[in-house]
Amino acid sequence: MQPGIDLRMRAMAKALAEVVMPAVDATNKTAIEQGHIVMGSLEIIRQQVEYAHWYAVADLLSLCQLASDLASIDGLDADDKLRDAAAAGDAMAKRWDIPLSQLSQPNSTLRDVISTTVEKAFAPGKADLRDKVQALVLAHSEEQLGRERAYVAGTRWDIYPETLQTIEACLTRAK
Amino acid sequence: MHENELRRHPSAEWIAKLRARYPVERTVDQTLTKKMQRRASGAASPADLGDIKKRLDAFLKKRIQGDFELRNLAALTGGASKEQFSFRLDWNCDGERRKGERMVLRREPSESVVETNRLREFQLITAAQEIVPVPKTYWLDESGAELGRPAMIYGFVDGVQKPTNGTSNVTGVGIQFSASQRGVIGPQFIAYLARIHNYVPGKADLSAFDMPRVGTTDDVDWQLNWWTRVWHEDMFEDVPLLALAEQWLRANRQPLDHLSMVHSDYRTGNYLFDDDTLQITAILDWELGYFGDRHHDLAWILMPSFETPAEDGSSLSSSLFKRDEFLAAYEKACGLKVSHQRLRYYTIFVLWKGAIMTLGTALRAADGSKSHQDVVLTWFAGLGYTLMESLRQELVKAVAK
Repeated sequence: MQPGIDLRMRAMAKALAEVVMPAVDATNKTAIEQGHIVMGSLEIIRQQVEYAHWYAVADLLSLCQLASDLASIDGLDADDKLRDAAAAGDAMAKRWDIPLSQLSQPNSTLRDVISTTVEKAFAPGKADLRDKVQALVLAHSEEQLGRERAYVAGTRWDIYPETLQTIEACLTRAK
Repeated sequence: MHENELRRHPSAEWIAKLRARYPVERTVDQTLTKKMQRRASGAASPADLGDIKKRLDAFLKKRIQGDFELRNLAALTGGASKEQFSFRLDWNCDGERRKGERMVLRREPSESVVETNRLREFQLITAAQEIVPVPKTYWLDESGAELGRPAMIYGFVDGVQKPTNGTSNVTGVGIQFSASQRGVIGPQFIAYLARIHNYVPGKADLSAFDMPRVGTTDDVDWQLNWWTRVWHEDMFEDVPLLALAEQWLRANRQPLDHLSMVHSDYRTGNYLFDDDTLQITAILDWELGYFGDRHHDLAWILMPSFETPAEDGSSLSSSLFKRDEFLAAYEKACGLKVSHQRLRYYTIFVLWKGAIMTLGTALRAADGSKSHQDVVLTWFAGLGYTLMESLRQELVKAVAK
């Protein structure tokens, strides 16, 4: 039996709030601001850790889908790279016996290949390709940003409460 | 070597490739190149006040005639970008004995949320002294050979960033004013912006700046290359939306219609005011300034993430104005027309740039343990996603036209 991550983080947050922060020199505003950010960050990590693997897989599959959609556009000369990256991502997303850092490798490759495709679509004389690529990237970004915003909502930077979801809701939708 | 590894340990060839691909102003190029050359140098040590005092003493000894005394050196709070320290100086200035003059040492951390050039900042603040309230500039250590890292010294200005007992998120975002406070501060904010945008380069030394030609896309090309280069130097992973935004910006740029001094971070949180009289006492944070299109500043001021709610529930840009009222008052004060097409363009530009700073440079600096504010820099990433959501919404509107 291991003590839960959540339990340990709550204990750390309590120590910071009740013991460490009151002992900080009240005139040291940088220390106080950073102390509050550390406590806020711990709370956000508490929210994220429960969903970390699910999140990484959802993000990877979402990029695989975008790459496949882009590859199906006639005339894009990056289609083999897109298909290969999507296939590698799909295969990795099925694995459960890997650390998160390994899941991020195919994710990173997909992002590179997709961004290169976007650049190529803006070459002069390819207006029709450009329009199709723009539409796919913008649609994908709406879903991806919904997930990313939910994941960091605890920072309270978000300014679109009407579309801000819980982490679980947007991951369930992605599934 | 994979590009992400090159970002941590940049080779000379890779740095040269980025420099060639993204040409920028001379001093911006120097600054970004130095950043990459020292990236692999390891984590930065916390500032040692004893060492800084020793260096400052030696630095001032070379520049001050007669005896002087430096005292009360202390770190200043606020700001996620540069290290700042205040001190008192007893010294002779132009034959006048000054006792306890309060000054600020502004020094670069090893890396920060934005990598900028102290000579540019020093020259721009010095030039701006002619037109708006800014700190009095005194000395510059451009290379950092004497003060440990590039640094400048300017006069301390009294004032507050937000009303007493006011609240805000980090770096002054989210400051709330009452209607009566807005009524006093707002017109000054616009009047000073108009003076900045109407500034005509004259006697001031602005040799650190390359001046773009009106009627060309020099200015926006340099800006696009600057931030694209920064993104490629600093990102952890590519973002398709940012790639799309860059391409859209390159495809839709317009020739410069009027040459303006551009502050580039003009917003509430970046000026000081007297808490009693509400008079603005200094406009700060000039490090991103350049010469180019005034709409850059307008779009930054109007950025949704800098809005706060008014008493009636409507949104206030930069905590001060309703959007249309701001634009109308600006046109009247400035005498230069606002092009809504250019404003839309720069709205996309500043959101793209803001996402690069928060999701690229801030996290990269923290990853290398390069700054005194690493934990604040990681907090900024949360802002990056809402900036990208604003960017996505603006791009949807732009491509629909």
